[in-house]
Amino acid sequence: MATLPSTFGTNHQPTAVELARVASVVQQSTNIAGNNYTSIVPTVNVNDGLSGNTGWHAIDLAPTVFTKYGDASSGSTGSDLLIFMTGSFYLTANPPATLVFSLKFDATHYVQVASNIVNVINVHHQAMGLTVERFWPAGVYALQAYVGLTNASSPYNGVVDNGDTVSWFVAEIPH
Amino acid sequence: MSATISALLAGRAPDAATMATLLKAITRITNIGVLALNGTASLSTGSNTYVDIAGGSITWTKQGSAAESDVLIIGAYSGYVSTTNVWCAGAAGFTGPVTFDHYWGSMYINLASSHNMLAGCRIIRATDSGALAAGTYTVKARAKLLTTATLTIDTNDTASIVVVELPK
Repeated sequence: MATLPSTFGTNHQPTAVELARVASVVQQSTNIAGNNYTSIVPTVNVNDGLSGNTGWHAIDLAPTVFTKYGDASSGSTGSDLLIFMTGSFYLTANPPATLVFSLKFDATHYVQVASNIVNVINVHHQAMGLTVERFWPAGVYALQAYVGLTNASSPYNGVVDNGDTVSWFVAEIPH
Repeated sequence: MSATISALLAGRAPDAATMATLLKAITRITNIGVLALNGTASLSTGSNTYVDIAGGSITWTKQGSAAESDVLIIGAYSGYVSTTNVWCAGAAGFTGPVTFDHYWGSMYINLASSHNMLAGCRIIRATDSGALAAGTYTVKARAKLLTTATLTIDTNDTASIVVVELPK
């Protein structure tokens, strides 16, 4: 919950500093971005496994620009990020395997938001998840949806096809 | 919002217009509608057109014009289909100053008579087809199928729509 001035009332004229605090909370709590990808062409084929930062495949080719206003602190100047993500996919071989949808924040940071262990092939499944990211500095980010696959062993055969949808949103949560 | 915020963040005393803009933003971000249905719907369609998921609707009023605010929709439903390999889609159906089915997601349901779930979200912007003007809307959960089949959302399934106004 955002920290707001507690002195507002009929006998207190808000100061500029107090109103600046209110404005900052409003700015952050109205800061929501997202995207929805459907008719995904070409199909995203996942033919390798996740290992560290490798094995991720872009769903959307153009990143979504998002500005975070709050800083990385845990105090009242900071903010967190709520992320919702969902997507569907299927396996063509080698079950069980886990499809993971992530939101990429920078060159090396993939926030894993939604995953699903799939036990059968050629049957579409949905993965949906929510998470909170903390301690990101204020600034401009290029957010991009990715998909990856973990198996006990290769071959890796996951598919997000043109009948699937991958969607997400991110919302800033002021402290 | 940005000019208003900049003025206040700079520590300047607000004027009435600035405060009005700030309050308008608060009004809009707290403008959230939720439709939650426990289904008994059975939808037969192969015409690739949306039909209602029966069970109810909500009334929701958008405060800002299409240029002044966007709308975040989150949708989900579970159910089963009567034949194999049916492409199913979901939408939030708006009826009001603008009448439009706003798609939120789709997926092939490959097995017949096996329950599945679809979910998705989307931000409706001023540049989108069916951009939402200010005014009061009836919002329904809607679904469509690409191939001829029956989609059943039974008494153990749910269909949900969340609508959130996003001030600029």
